[in-house]
Amino acid sequence: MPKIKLQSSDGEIFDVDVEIAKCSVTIKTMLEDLGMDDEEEEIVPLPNVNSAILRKVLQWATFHKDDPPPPEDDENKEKRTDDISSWDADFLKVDQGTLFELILAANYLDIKGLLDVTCKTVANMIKGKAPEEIRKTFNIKNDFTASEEDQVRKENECLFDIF
Amino acid sequence: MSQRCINDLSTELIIYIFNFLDLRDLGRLRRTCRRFRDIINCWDKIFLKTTTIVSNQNSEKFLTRCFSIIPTKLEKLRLQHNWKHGIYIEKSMFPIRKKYMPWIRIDKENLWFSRGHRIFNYKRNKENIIKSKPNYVLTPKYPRNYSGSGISTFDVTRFTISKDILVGGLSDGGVYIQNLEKNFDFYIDKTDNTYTSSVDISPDHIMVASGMRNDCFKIYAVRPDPIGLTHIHTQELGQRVWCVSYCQDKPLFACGTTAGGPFKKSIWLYDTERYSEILNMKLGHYISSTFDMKWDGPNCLWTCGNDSYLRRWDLRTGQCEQKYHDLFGYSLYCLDYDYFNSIMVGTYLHGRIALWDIRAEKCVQFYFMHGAGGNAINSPVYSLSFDSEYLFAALDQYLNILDFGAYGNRGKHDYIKMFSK
Repeated sequence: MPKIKLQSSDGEIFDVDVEIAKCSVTIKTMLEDLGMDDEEEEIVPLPNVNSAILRKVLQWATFHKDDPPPPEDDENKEKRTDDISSWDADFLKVDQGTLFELILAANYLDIKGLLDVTCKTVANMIKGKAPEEIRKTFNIKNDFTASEEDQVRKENECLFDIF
Repeated sequence: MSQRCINDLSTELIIYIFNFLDLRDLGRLRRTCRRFRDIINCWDKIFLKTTTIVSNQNSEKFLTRCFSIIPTKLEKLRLQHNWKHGIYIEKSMFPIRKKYMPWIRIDKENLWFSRGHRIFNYKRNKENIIKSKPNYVLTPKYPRNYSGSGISTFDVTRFTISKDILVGGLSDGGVYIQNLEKNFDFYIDKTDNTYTSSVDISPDHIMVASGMRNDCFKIYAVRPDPIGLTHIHTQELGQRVWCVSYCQDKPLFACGTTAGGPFKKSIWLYDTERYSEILNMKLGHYISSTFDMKWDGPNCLWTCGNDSYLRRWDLRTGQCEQKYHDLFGYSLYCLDYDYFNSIMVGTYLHGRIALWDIRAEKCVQFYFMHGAGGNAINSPVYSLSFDSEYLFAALDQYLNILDFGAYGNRGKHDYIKMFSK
C-alpha cells in the first residue's frame, strides 16, 4: 500500500497509508492539486497539528478507514448527540484541552466524522446544565455586569418558552 | 496536557457545536458570558424555525403602517411573545358619554379617527403613542345653497385614505372627498336620502365607490382640480350593502352585502371597467351579511360577517379555502391583516378582538378592551388596525390603544388558555 509522510508542527514524521491520510479532505486535495506521485517520498508538513494530536487523529482515522462517507448535513433534521459509538466514546475519554485540540485539528484537516463526534462530545457536556455549571465545566469567566445579566435573563423568559 | 479551552475555538466552530443543542440549552448558554450571548444573538439560524406573528414585518404593504421597523430578530420574538401572551399596556382615550360608531385608519405617521360628524387626525409618536391634541380636524359640511334636503345632521360612517385623498361615507347618504394636500380642498355630494355604509377609492385615484343601505353601490369619477365627484353608475343589488373594496393589484372590485334570503349571496365581484359582474366566479356565500373585507393580493379576499366566520376566498377556484369560527360565536364587525400571517377581527360585544394565525390555523389570543377606568365594557369593536407594536380599536365611547412593546409580565391578559379548552 502506498505511503506518505506527514510532518507534525514539532517536527515528528509519520509514515501513513495514503488511503488513511486521505480521510482528511485537506490532505486529499493537497495531494490531488499538487499532483504528488505515489513514488515520490515527499513530506507533507502540517504546521497546525502537534505530534500528540496527530497521533490521536491517525489512530481515529485508522479505525474508521472503512466507514462510509458521512451523509450530507440536512438543515432540517434534528441533530442527535446520542449516537456516538462506544469505541469513539472511549477514544474521547481525554482531558478538555486535548478534546479542543482534536476539534481544531479535525477542522483544519477537514475530517468531518471526527469533527462531528468531538463537537457532539462537547455538546453533551453542555446539555441540561445551568449557566453556572456550564461556566464551571469550561472554566468560563462571567463577564456580564449585573444589569446585563438581568437583561439577558429577562429576554430569555420571553424568548425560550415560545419554541 | 494541553492548555486549550473552549474560547480558543473560532465562532464557526462554536456555532458548529451549538448546532447540536436545542433552544433551551442555547437559552442557558446565552446567560453564561458575553461571547456566547453575542454569538447566539447574531445567529439567525436558530430563529429560522420560527416566523413571528404580527411582528414579522414581512410585507411592504404592512410596513407602510408600522410606526417603527423592528431592528432585530430577537426583538421580533420578544414582541411576538407579548402578542401571544397578552402582555401590553392599555390606554383608553377620548371618553365620551354619547355612543358613536367610529372608524379608524393608520399609517406610519398618522392616526385618523372619525366620531360623529368629524374626522380627527393625530400624529403618532413613541412616547405618547398619539398626542391627545389632534393635528387637524375635518368637518364635512354641505354648502349653504345645497339643493338637497337642506343641511342635515349626519355622522361619518367609514372612510379611507389613499396618498393624500380622503374619501368618507356619511350617514345621510352623502359621499365626501377631500384633498389633504391642497388646502384641504373638498367636495361633498348626496344623491339619495339613505345611509352610506362604506366607501373606497380605486388604486389609481380615478374612481370612488360607495356602498348604500338602499340596496345598491354607486360609482363616481374623481375630478382632480378642484376635487370633485361625478356620479357615473349605480348598481342595484337588491340587498343592503355593507362594505366595498377595490383590489390593489387587478381591476377588480368587491362588495359585501346582507344575504337577504336563502338564495342570495353576500359577496359580489365586479370588474372596474364596465362594472359588469364577473359571473364565472361563483364567489359568495348565502348565509350571512358580510361586514368587512380585505384583499390579499390579486386572487384572495378575506371577509368577515355576522355568521361569526372569518373566511378566505380564492378567486381562482371561486371557493372558500379557509374559514375560522369565532370561539364565542359572535358576529364579526371588522378585520385587519398584516398581509402575511396575522389577522385580527373585531367582534360585536365586550370590546373583544381576536388574533388569528392563519398559517398555524389557530386563534392565538383575545384582547378585551376596557373603559377609561379599567372597567369591562359592552361595546362592539367598530374598527381596528394594528402594526407590529400597537393595536388600535375604535369603540362606542373610547379609542383604545394597546402597546405591546411592554417589558415584563405586568398587565398580562392571557385569556386564550381559559377559553380554548
